[in-house]
Amino acid sequence: MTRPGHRAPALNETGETGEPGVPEVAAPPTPDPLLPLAQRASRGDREALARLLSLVAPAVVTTVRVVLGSQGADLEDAAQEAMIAIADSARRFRGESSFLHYARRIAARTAFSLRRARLETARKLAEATAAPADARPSLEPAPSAEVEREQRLEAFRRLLDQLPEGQAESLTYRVLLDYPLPVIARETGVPVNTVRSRIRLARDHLRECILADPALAELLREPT
Amino acid sequence: MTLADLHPDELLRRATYDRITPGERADLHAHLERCPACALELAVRGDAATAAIPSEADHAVAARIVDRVLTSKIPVHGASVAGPWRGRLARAAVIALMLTSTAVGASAIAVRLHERRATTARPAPTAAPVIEAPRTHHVRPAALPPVPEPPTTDPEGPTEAIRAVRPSPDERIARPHARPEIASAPSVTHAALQPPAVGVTAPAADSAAAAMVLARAEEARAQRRFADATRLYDDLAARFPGSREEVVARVLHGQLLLDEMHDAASALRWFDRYLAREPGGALAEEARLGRAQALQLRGSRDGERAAWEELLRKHPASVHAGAARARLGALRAP
Repeated sequence: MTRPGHRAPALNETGETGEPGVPEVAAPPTPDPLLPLAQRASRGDREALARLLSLVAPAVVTTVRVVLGSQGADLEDAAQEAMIAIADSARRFRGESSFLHYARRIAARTAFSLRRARLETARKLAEATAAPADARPSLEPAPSAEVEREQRLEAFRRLLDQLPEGQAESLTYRVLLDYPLPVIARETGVPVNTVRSRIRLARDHLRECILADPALAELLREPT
Repeated sequence: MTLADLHPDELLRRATYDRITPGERADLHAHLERCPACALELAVRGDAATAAIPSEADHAVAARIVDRVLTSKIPVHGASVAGPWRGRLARAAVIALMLTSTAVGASAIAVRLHERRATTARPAPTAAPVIEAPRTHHVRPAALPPVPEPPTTDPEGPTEAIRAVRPSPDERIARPHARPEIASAPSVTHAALQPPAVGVTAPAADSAAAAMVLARAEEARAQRRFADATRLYDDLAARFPGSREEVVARVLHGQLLLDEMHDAASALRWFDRYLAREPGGALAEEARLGRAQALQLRGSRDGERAAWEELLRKHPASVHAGAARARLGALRAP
């Protein structure tokens, strides 16, 4: 269920919290099949809103899972918070992007927020107990390709946790969510060239981490 | 600045979808050998694209969350979304989801079938003495890599599967097959997905669930996860035998086995199963084409000749007629 203090910020349609001067997302080249429902929902049609939530929910869950990892209750909590944020933001949807894109951005932001909060808690706990969190992935033999995939994703997330927030956020959008650079620029509120720079620095940092830790190279094995 | 410093961002992205030229691939591999970060990133990109496809478990989680949000007293737009209509809405929403999956799945299938038709009907590039049969993977120009569709993580698309049939926003490379005639394509698949005059009428819920499995199979195929796609087609056949989706999938599965996995024997069985069920069905022409190609791959000259002749007899106006005649001419040559 929803945890207090971690509520995702209400967003306007471009995924912003009100910062001016950030360009809008270009309208999708194909009609958005969810637009009629979204428009009805934005006018207060509860039935349309319910249908809309049902249709975007699977994508919200996967977006949260990709960013946050498969952490059971955490995943459901995050996805639920995202869904509430989406419902709350539906009235601000203006059809300037697809509604699914809109919902995914909210889900990604919610997941970022929770992951950062979780990381901060882990750091404080590690400081208190003098037992640093292990940033290395588990390298136990993977029983299946699916498990191996999740191990690699989790290792990547842990590497991201070592990066400055701006770099981690940019690389997450780029690699895990496959966002175009201009969209990342809008999401993070910085120019595109800054995004490029952040991503390059993040990759440089990851390379240093991997070169310094041969165990991480194991993750580059071909999937079984 | 060395090559390792210039992380090839765009190449990494396109490589995820196998949309790079051989030259670019060589450059990328040279970089990956020196840059473990990019090597890890490339692997993770594929992992993330796969993970972004909702599984059955994800759908279950999503349904639970929607149910909780709808039943909670959480104020949305100043009023609770809960109400006496909730149960009816939940069912309607599930059906709407399934229908959406059917529609987008059908669109994806239609585009692929259309491409297959266009490619197959394309005249041979040269008047070679040995006429090649119109196998899709044989006539594709060697210089062009296979082009899977972008995964569902593309943030600009309106729905999961609709996004799978159009390029992502920052795609720079041209597709090998233009798709100007897509608008005319859905008729084939839409017709195929319509119930036949006589046939099994599956309950609505089963039909929707079958459509979901079919859509997932097509998604997996678009992302070149062929083993997953095969498993999903098999799942569809096992769980929903005789449904419209399962019958249509017989041809799609056969094409996958033939074109991508080069398993002619298995492909032939699926084409035969479709034709046994619907010899005059909307996909009968595709099935007969597949049969001829599968028999050619198996080296069965007599069988292949009979298959081409049947295609011409049953579908004299087929777009494959010219290719069929050319192939028959080659088979008759000493």
